[in-house]
Amino acid sequence: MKQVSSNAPDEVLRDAKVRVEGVSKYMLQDGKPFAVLQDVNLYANAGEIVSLIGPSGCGKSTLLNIMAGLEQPSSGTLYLHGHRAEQRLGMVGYMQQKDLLLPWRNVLDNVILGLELRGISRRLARARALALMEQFGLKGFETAYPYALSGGMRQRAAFLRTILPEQEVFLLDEPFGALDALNRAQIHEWLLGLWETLHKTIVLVTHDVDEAIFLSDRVYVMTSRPGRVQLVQGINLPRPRRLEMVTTAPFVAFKTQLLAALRQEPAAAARDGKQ
Amino acid sequence: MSTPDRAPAAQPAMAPRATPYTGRLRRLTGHWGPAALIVLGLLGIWESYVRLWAVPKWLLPAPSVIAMTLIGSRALLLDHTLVTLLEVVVGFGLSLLCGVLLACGIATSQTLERALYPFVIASQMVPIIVIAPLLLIWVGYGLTPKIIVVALTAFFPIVVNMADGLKSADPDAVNLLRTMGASRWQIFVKVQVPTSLPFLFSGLRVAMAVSVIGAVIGEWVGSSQGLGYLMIRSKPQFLTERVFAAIVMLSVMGVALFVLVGIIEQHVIPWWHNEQRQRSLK
Amino acid sequence: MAQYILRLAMLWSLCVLMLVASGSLSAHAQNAVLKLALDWYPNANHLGLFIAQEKGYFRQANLDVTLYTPVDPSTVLQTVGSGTDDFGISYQPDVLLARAQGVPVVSVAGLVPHPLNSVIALKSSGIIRPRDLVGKKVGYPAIPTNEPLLGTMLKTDGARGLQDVEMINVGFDLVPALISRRVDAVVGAYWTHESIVLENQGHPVHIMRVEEWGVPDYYELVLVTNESTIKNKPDIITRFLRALRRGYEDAAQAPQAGVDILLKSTKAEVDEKIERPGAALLAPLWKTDKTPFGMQDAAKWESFTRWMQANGQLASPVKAEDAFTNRFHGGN
Repeated sequence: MKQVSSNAPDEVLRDAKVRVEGVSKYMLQDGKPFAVLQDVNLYANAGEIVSLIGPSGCGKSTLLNIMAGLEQPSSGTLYLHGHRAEQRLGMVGYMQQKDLLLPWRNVLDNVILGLELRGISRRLARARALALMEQFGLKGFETAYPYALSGGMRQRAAFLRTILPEQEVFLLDEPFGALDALNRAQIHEWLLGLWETLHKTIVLVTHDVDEAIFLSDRVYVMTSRPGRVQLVQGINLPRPRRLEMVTTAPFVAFKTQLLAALRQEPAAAARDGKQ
Repeated sequence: MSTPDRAPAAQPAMAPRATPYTGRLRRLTGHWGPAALIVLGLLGIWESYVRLWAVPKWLLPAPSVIAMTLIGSRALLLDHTLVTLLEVVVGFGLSLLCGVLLACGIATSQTLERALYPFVIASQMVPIIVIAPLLLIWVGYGLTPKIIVVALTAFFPIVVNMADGLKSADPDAVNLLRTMGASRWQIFVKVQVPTSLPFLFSGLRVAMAVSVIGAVIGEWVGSSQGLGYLMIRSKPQFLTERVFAAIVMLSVMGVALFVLVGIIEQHVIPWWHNEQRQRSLK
Repeated sequence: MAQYILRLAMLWSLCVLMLVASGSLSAHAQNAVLKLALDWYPNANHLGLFIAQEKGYFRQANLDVTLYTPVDPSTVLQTVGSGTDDFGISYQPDVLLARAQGVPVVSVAGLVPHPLNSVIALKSSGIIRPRDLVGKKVGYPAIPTNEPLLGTMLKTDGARGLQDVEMINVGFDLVPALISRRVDAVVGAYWTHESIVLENQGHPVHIMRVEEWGVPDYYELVLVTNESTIKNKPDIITRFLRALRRGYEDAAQAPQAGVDILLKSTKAEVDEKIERPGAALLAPLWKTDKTPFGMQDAAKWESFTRWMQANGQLASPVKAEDAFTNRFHGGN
């Protein structure tokens, strides 16, 4: 396991909003157990954005599922807000690859789903959501149904749904996959702008190295199955980040290092099918 | 740095359309036109056959004779139609209530499913024509046994469709709600139930069709009112045109109820049809 | 391939030849093929028919007769009227109702010369006369004729009529309806059948005969055919009636032997415990001293037609003499 920057000191770890410690996950296939994740360590402090990149099938989504509480690790511990978290359901915001907007609800009622589940009245929840609709580019589509929205709009609606309950930690699984490159750059700026006002902790899974570097404070590079963290790269680019930074030397240096790490096991990456 | 006050340009794939109330007549005729033409054609063939071959009225009445009976005996026919209609509606409602409750139980509990599903299937397999006379003895000769017969015939499609619908909820959507801290009950109400509605309505349409038949069979074996009763009274008197008139009333009632279910469906799950239409356009 | 076609062609020709041969054979046989629709499942009423079948009386008359019960027995007059069936067993009231609607059926023989239809009540109910039915529930099998029958019986016994009772359609399950006490009496039940069923199940009954309470005597069962058969094939009817007569004479002499034959020849469920007593009750009705079996009494037709007319049952006026004929009873 190669590392460029040193391990974070213990004091930092104690303030971490979310911490994954030695997590492994085994699954059975044809009666034989195989490792999906192996001894993964990861942390994010309050207000940090960390990214997870890796080849397809390296278990990124499984790791997020475990962090969200949908699955339990075969071994290892997870900490939320500094405490051991056995039951994590409902404690973090989780945006999956599929927008999963409920087809029988209009956009407004979809985005308030998280608030509704917490017992907040629909009236209040709708008011809160309406205030943000313009910012998320959904103004005018409050009463529209998901089938009438483009992929990008659905993704933004799902994103609004994720952040409305105002949790401290968000897990985002390739949230901008549905967008083309042109829109992606714009949405990165938008996201960072949003994040600066909200000060949330974000764990982001992506396959886009540029995106990882541009958005994060730290990037974790994973190997293909069984997923292990092979590289932890701190990104010390100045904030607020600007699009122009993408072509600067430090950015390119980071990119080179990360791409090199990703290229470590090209054969394995080609072999694996799904995540 | 100021926060961007506008997200990237909104590009909807298709803006939602308003219902076109203009051109509704065109839609109506376009929708029912072909069927109406076929019916008229068949009636024409029937009328010609009866006239050309001088078929006696008591054997096969011509459509014109049936039409005259419909008009001439309309009060009688209407009285009996209302009775059968009542049996169908009450029996159907009873079946809907019990069926939905049972389906919820079956979909949420494996033990309940294993315990009750065989009975659901049995309810469909026992021939109504055998059960109906027994019901008359157990329950009496009023409307109640007919209502029970209707409920029994409608039961199976409602339960099976609803249970299937409840179980077919998107597992990813269920997981989504779990990550948001939803309870089992919240998942049931907010995901499973809405998912099951299109299935339920599919079952309701089938159930409605068989309910009408069930009511008539219930009346055949012992009744003093209703279209089925009218039919068995008219037969020994060789009033075949009245039998056919009763059949026409039954068909009209059946079609009307069927369409009614469809209209209610449009109002309860408008998103379903829009989504289906959207999918077919893509 | 050519071989295959050749073989197929040979097989085909063989089939055609056989068909033609069988057709011509049957034409040479001179046996008329007839279908007779029974009024109900085979029972003691049909004894003479089954005897004639079994003992070869039909065959001897050069008739090939098929006896069957239609899936829906209420269609007998329609199938006979349309010519689908050559003969049928039906009821005098129904023949008149049919003729009023223009169905061209004619009764050529009376099989049961008196009504079997009756009003039956459980002995335990204490109902012994029509008047006792006032304010009570009477079950009937949805056959409209039963209403005026009961009405006349009530009026004869001093009641006002049908408005004094509650008629409940119980389908054909008259016995369960009576036993379960859902009705106090039933009409449309045969005193040669339902009464036996009830007594066999341990429920003694009291029977009120319709002809004893103001209803004119009539034929319960008649043999019907259609007008075109009468016009075009009168010879067949004569032969048929001759064979029928022999069958019913045997049945009258030895009813229980007739039941043996019934049990043997039908695949349908025949309940011995009902049919044996039934046959015993019917045998005296078949014995005829003066007229050959099946000859019909014109007076019965006249009076009953008038009664039906008076009760508004006939949609159009019916001439009694057109509804029946004794023309085919000549000769032995």
